[in-house]
Amino acid sequence: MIRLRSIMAGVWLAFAGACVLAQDLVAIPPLDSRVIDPAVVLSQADRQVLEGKLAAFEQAHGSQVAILLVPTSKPEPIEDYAHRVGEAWKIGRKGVGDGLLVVVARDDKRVRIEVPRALEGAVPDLAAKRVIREAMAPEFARGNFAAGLNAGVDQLFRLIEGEALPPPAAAAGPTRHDDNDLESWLMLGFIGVIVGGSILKAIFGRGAGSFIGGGTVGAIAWVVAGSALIAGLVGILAMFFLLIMGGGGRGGGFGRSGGIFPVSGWGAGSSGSSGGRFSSGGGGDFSGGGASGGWGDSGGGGD
Amino acid sequence: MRKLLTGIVIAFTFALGGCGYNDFQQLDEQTKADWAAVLAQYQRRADLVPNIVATVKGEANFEQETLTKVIEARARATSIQATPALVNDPAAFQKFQQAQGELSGALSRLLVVAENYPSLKANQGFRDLRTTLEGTENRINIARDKYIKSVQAYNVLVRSVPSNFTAMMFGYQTKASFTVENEKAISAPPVVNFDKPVEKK
Repeated sequence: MIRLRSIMAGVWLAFAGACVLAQDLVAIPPLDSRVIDPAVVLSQADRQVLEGKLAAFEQAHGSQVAILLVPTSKPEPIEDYAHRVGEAWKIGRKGVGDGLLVVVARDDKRVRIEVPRALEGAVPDLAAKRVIREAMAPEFARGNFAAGLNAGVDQLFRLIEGEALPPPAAAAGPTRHDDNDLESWLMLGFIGVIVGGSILKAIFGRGAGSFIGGGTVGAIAWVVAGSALIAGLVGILAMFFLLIMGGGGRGGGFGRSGGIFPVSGWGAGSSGSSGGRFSSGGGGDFSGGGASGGWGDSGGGGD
Repeated sequence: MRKLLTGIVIAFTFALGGCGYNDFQQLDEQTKADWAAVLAQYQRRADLVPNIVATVKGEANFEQETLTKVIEARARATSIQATPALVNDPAAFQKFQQAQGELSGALSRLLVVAENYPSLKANQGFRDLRTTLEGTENRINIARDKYIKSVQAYNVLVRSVPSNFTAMMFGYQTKASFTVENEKAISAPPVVNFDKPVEKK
């Protein structure tokens, strides 16, 4: 069974690989810092300066700004590539969606500022275009990518600062889950108790099954909440619930015992550590805002 | 008896849920929302065109033919009543798509021609309009992609077992989606012509 499954997984992977090869799109690099530079355009020092700047801005204003420098975005136009990256990274705070993305395609001589819906007021297309035309393109044309990015990012900061965004959550401590998350957790836990409890009761009988179920729930609550008191209460509650629920000796035929550990992925912003590990806030709702421009030899930043 | 009836009702409800009734509702709303987003972006472009035309008209001896084509294409595109019901009528949808496609073509032609007029290219107003137009076209693309994806999900549900029985029962039809516009033009290789110098002094 396991063998068959692994073979199927292998076949699937091969197909997926073939698809990727057939389309041959530029891969989206993993998001592990604010400045991602697979094209190795920036020097180590320049990168650190930029990262420090972006981290400080996030700490002060809450907005996540990320920079990606790739050799090329071909065969896609940079607009499509940047949108794909934005959708995959989901930078910006969850619920606010204030992550801004700058993509540079070195060999294509194209740059794009991808603006999420939440910032389209602060950074309209024309403003983004102006940043590219006035701050970035002239420096890029001379090969000074660090200087162009620094100047461009400074202008973008000024634009974003003007927008009334919620203050950064750093002071109050990172809130790990919002209501929606908590609700779905509770719902999942509830279903888990019913399903798992029926199975336990079917195996161990009514009393012992309820006791074991309650104990398990208590243990999980302890791990999740980190408080023995809450864990005890939840465990006892679950036990009584299982006792009352009825359907003693004979459980339902179906069962999905595990599955109450949805890994909720993103922590909300990593406002604390500047320049250290960086994770997306899970916000970013990109609908095609922003502007792109080139620094080709013909006509400067006109296009 | 009453118990039996209640049981039947409950079973029916669950069966409906199992056969994707709720999924239909959810995906239907999703396609509607995405379609509205597409229409909003097309409208944004249509609103932009008069400004572009006015700016270009200010340029002396601008190619009249190009300009007329843009104006006509816009008139055609906006004459079609773009309602949410459009997605349930493949023929009307096709017409809508074609009209918008013509406007896209006319506008990109206008931008190419504008390259030949240095004073127009230097005109700040025109540059801004051009940036806005580019942004709008990009938004249209993204809104269209999103709509195509949600219609795909809906249509798969309409046509696959067992949810297709639910679809039959309630008369849900597949929805129309965007296709590649000018298939013939794309399959034909582009002709590059170096005969005429692009510069126009």
